[in-house]
Amino acid sequence: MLKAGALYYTVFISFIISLIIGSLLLYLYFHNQYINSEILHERLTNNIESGINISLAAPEDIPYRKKKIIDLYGDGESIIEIRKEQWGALDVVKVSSSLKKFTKTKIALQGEYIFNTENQALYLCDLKKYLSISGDTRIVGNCSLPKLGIKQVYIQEKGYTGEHLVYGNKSQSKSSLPEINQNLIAFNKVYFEPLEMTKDSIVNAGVVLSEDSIKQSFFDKTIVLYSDNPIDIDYQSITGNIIIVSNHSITVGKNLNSRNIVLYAPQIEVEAGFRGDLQMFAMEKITIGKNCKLNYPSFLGLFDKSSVGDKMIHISEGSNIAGGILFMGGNEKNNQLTLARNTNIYGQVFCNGNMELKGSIYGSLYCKKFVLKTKSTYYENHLMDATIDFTSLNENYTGFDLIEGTDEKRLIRWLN
Amino acid sequence: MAELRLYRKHPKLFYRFKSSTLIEAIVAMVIVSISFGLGVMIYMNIHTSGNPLVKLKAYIEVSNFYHKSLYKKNFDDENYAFQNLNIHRQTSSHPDHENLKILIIKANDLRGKEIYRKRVIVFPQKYE
Repeated sequence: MLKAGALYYTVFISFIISLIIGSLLLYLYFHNQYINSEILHERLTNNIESGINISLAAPEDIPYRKKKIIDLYGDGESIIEIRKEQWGALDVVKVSSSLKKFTKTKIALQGEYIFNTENQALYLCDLKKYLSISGDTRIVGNCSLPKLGIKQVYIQEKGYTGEHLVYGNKSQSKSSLPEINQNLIAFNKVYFEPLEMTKDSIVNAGVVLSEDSIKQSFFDKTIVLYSDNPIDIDYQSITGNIIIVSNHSITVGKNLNSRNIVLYAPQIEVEAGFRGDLQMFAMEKITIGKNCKLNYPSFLGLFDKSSVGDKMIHISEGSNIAGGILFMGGNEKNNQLTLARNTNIYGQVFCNGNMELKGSIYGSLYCKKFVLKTKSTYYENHLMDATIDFTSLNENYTGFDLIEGTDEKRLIRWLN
Repeated sequence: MAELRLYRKHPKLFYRFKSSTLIEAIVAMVIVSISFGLGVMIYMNIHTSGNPLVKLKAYIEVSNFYHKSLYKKNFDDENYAFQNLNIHRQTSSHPDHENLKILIIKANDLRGKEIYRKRVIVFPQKYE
């Protein structure tokens, strides 16, 4: 028989009520916690955004390869850590911010804002020669040309078809090109010197390149895949914080899936039909096969002024490159940057040697001398059916810091 | 009759409850009322003191206003009322870099108490 007694029931009901109230309090507590942590994360995001903005507006304040701590508002509440590294011809900036037990980090790929300083379609050195144009050549944008100026000529019975010689302002150029960014050259030349194999991030390429997919986050150490022998990369996916170095040559197959990686070798060949983004640096030769599409931000750099052997960059017919080309191969007759017919470059080209331009550059071109080879003749400072058009460059284009003295960066992409 | 027969056969099926005294019942009601009242009071106190929903509303509105400012490239000082909040945008120059600005967007309640504040160093040229 169950004994009666209202007190028992009262205690039971009180217990139930306290359970309900307790649950509500817990719900409120966690809800509050959630909102507070969201707000805290938002503060971290704001700090990181501020840090990125500082690195874009005042890149000279952030030294390379050194951690810099910044108190954003001078009150000790918003402190960030910035570290800047070079990544081929671009910069990787890592910004971290901590608050209580939370830390947030963002990594950004940054390039140069070129519209402030350049706005230059063509800079041709004054070697006391005319710039002679014929056929469907178009030069659109501001130009710095030799003192003798520009004139139209007939080449292979083709005259100039345009209404104006230059569709933009003209100024006089100097006998030499503007000073190249030495920092860019110095950093990338390191990979052509003997690498210290004792470093833990340098890996024998032969071991790793047999994998189908290699991926490395920019939060981790850079993987340098090194080999003394030729390296062939094809039917693979190689993405992220990876540098491939060969002492001999690198051949990139058309089935390679690449993103953000950098290649260093005396000779680099990209096979016809390749699509992807690549930064590549060579000392002797870079060949881009037919109908390749090197996506933004791709970069081709050749720098060696030594007179040993021919230096060349050759972009074959039908290829498109969104990014930049730097040719520092010297003046010898066989040292040449060639853009074949139907090639399109969207970005910047800097050539301190001979340049044979038969394709189109939608962006800017700094060039020492044009050459034009026909079946029978070798012309100097002649252009035929070539296009140089700065106005067609997308206004959101972020370029490469090729020339000394420019100092504003823009974000290219987040790397995490 | 049937019930009586059933009771005789299975007496355990039929329980009898003792009734409570009046005092017991009153004590029970008081205890229940006090525990319920206390619980509601604590709940309401926490609910109003933390103001999580108002904070959340302020946070969302300030974030929206910030993104609108970036989109419209407008960093001038501006005030407006949003429901029970006053939103205030204030911009000052960065002490070290002339091309940077310090943007502060605050949400205050009607009594002027700051509910939420967003502070970012912006680079206006980036959005041009």
